Amino acid sequence: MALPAVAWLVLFMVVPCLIILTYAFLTRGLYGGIEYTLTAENFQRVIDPLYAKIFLTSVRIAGLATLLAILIAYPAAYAICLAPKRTQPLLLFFAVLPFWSNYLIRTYAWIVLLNREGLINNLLRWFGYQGEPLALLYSEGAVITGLVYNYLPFVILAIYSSLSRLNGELLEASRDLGASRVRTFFRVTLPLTMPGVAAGGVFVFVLSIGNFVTPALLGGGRFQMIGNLVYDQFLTANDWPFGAALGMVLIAIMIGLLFLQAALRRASAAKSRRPLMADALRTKLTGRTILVLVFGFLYLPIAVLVLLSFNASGLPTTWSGFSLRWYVSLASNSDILHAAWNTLVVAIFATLIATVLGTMLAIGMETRKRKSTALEALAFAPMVIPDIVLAVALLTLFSRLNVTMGLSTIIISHVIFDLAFVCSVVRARLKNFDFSIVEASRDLGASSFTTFWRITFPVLLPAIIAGALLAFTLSVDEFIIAFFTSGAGRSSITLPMQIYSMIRFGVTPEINALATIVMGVSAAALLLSQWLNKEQMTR
Amino acid sequence: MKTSVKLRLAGLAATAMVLSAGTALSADLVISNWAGYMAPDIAETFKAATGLTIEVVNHATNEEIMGKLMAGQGKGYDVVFVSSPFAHILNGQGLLEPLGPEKVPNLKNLYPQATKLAFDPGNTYAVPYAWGTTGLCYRSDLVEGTPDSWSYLLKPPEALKGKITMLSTDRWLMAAGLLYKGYSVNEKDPAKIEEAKNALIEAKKGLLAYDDTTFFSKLVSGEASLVQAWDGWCNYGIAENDKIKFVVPKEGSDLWIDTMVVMKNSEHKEAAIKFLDFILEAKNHAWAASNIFYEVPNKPAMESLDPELIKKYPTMGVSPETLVKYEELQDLGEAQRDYSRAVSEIKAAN
Repeated sequence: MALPAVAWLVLFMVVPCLIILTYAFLTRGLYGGIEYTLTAENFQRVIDPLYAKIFLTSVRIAGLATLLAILIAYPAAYAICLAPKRTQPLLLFFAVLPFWSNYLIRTYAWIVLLNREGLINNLLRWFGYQGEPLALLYSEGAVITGLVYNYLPFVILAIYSSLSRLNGELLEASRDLGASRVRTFFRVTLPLTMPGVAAGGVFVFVLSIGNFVTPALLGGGRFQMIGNLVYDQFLTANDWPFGAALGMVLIAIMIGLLFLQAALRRASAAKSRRPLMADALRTKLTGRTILVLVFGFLYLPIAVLVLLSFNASGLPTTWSGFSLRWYVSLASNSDILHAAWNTLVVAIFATLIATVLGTMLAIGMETRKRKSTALEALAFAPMVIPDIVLAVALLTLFSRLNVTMGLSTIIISHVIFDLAFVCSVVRARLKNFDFSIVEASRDLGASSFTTFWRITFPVLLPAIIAGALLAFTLSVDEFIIAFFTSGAGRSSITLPMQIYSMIRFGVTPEINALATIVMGVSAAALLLSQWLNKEQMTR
Repeated sequence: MKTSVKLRLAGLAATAMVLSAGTALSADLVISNWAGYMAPDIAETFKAATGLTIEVVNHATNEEIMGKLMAGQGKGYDVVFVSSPFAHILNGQGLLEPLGPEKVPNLKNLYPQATKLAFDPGNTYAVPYAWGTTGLCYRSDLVEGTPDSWSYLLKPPEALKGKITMLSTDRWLMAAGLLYKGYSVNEKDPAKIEEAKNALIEAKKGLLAYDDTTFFSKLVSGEASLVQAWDGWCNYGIAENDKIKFVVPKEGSDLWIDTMVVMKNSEHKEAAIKFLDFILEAKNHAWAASNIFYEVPNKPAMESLDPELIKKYPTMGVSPETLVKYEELQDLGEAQRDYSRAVSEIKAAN
C-alpha cells in the first residue's frame, strides 16, 4: 500500500534534496554558486549562539501558536461534531473557505484591523477611549495571532477527523457506569482523540517555523523564524552551502523532535491531561456559542478583505472611499484570471493524487507489523524540509534532466507535501481503528477489495475528506515551490506567484475582488448543491 | 448509471482543464520583470514595431529570480530585469550574454554617466533601465523640520520614536547604519560592519517596523511619520498625500540601478537584443518615468517629460550628475556573509 507514495517521495524529494544537502560539505564560490572543495566549515558556522537563539525564539513562538490553536480548535471541532450529521461537512467547509483567499491579502487585512490608525483602535476611540492608541501590531502577540489564525482550520480538520469516529455508545457506557461528563471527557474522549490533536499540533508547529510572511508583516520584521534564515542564505546571501548546512541541521532537529514526541506520547499514553480544557468545559459554553466565536475570528479579517475590494484607493491597507473599479478592472485582467485558473488546476490535481497516495501510505504504515523508523521519517520529512530547499532541489533536478517545466511539474511538487499532510490526518483516524473487523470481513469470505470499500473506506472517509480539504488549501496558497518549478513561460503562472510579484508596485484590491468572488462562488455552489440534495431526498 | 455519467463528466472536465491550461502559445521571447514595471501594452507595441511576439512573466524580488536562474541555469528566459549587484553576480557566473554599443545601438540615448557605471563600464552585459537613490520619506505635517540626516533613523528625536520604519533587505538596512557611521555602503572591514550593526541594534528600540513593501502606505495612514525609502516608492505615497516629502540625507546615500540582461542560454538572443534596443527608444523608455515615477537614465526620454510631473515629484528632476555622486551598491564577495550574519543578529535582537 505504501509503495506508490514511497516511490514518489524518494524520486521527487529524497533524490533532489540529497543533491542539494551535499552542498553543505562544499564551498561557496566567489559569485555564489558552488565550488567543489570539501569542507566542514559550514557546520562550524551553524554552531553559533546567534542561530541557537533564533531557533529557540522560533520554537517559542511556534509552540505558543500551537498551544493556542489546539485550545481553540478542540472545542470548535467538538462543537462541529455535535451539530447534525448533514451540517458537519458544511461547517468544515466554511472553516477552510477563508483560506482560499490569498495569504498576503489576509495578512494585510490583519494590519488594517490592528494598526495604530486601524479599525480596532478607531472602534475603541469611538467608544470613548482617550489614551494613546494601542500598539497591537509588530509584536510577538501579533505574530502568534497571525499564525494561529492561518493554521487554525488545519487543526480543526485534524481533530474533527479523529473526534467524529468516536463511538457514542462508548461515551454512553462511561456515563452509565457513573462517570461525570468531565471525567468521561478526560478518560475516554481526550485519549481517543489525542492522535488528531497531535497531528494538528504538528501542522501548526512545522508550518509556523517555516513561515516568513507573518513575522515580516505582522511582526514588522522584528522577529525571524528559523525557516526564514535558511531562505535568506539561499536567496539573499547567495550562500547555498551554508543554507544547505542550516537546512540539514533543521530537518534533523525536527525529525528528532517528532520521535521524541512520539516516545513521550507512548510513555504517557492514557494519562494525558489538559487542565485548561476543563476550564473551558466548566464555563458550559454551548456548542453554538463556541462556533459563533470561532467563526467570528475566522471571518473577521475576511470581512475587512471584502471591504477593501471596494476601496477607491489602490493602497493595500488604507481605506479611502467606496468604488467598484477593482471589479471592473479584474474582469478585463486576463493575467489574474488565467493565473487563478492555473491555481485551480494545480490544486485539484495535486489534491487528487495526494489524497490517494497519502491515504494508501497511511494504511500501509498503520497495518505494518513493525514500525519502520525510516518510513516514519520519510512521511514526516515533506512537512519540515524548508520550502526553499525543496524548491531549489526540484528545479535543479528538473533542469538537469531537461524536463519541460509547467503546471505538471508544479503538480508533481505539490503532491510531495500534500500527501504528507493527508497521510498524517488519515493515520490519526486509523490509530484507534480496530483491524480485527477487517480480519472478520476477510474470514467471512469478502475479497480484500470488497473489504476495503465496505469496511475500511467508510470509516476513513471523514479523514480523507479532511485531508483533501487540507491539501487543497495548502496548494492554493503555495508560492515559492510553484515559482521555482513552473518553468519560464506565462502559461504556468499561479495566482500566488502573480500576487507576490505585485508586491513592488503594490498589490491592488483587484486581488481582494477576486478573493471575494472565489469565496462567494464556492460558498454559493456548496449551499446550492446541499439544497438540491435536500430537495431530492425529500421528494 | 448515474455515477458513471458523473464520472464521465468529471473525466471530461479534467481533460478539458489540463488541455486549456496546457495550451501555451510559444512566443519569440520570454521576459521576466517586476509586475507593473513596463507599459502594459508592451507586447502589442513591440510586435507592431518588429513583428516579434513576447511573453512577459513576473518575479517578486531580485533574490527569487536569482535563485531560479542559478538553479535552472536561466533556461527558458531570454531577457530578465534585475538590480545591478545581481546582474554582476549573474555575469560572474557566466550566465549572461555580452552586450555593448555595437550590438545595442540605442545605448547612445543613455546619459554618459549611465555608460560608465562602476559595476559594468561600457554596458558590456547589462543595460540600465531605471535608477535612483534611497533616502527618507516623511510626512512634513508630522515631522518638525527637514530630517536631512541618517541620525533621524538611528537616533530619532523623542517625538518620532515608534513612528519610523527601515528597509529590511540586508544591503539597504546595513547602508543606513554604515552611512550614519560615515562608512561606505560597500564597507568590507569587519570592525566597521560590527559598528554599524551595533548602531542598528540600538536603533531597533525606536523603530515601528522593518518594512520593504508597505511603508508608503503606512505614511499615508499616519501609522508612521518617517520611513527609509527608495525614491520611486516614496512617490507612490506623494501621489496619495501631498504632505509626503523625500530627502536624501546629507551624509550621502546609495545609487541603485535596475538593469536588463540577456541570458546566455537564451535561444533567441537576436530578438532579445532587439527588445533591449526597443526599450531604449526615447518614447518607450519615457513610459517608466511618466507612469511609475522612476528616473530613467535616458537623456531624450527624460527631456520629453512634462514639467508639471517634475514639480509634483521632485525626485524626477534630480540630475544624473547628482545621482552618480551617490555610491553604487556592489557585490560584496566574501564579505556578504558578514552582512548576512549582522542582519540576522539585528533581526533577532530584542
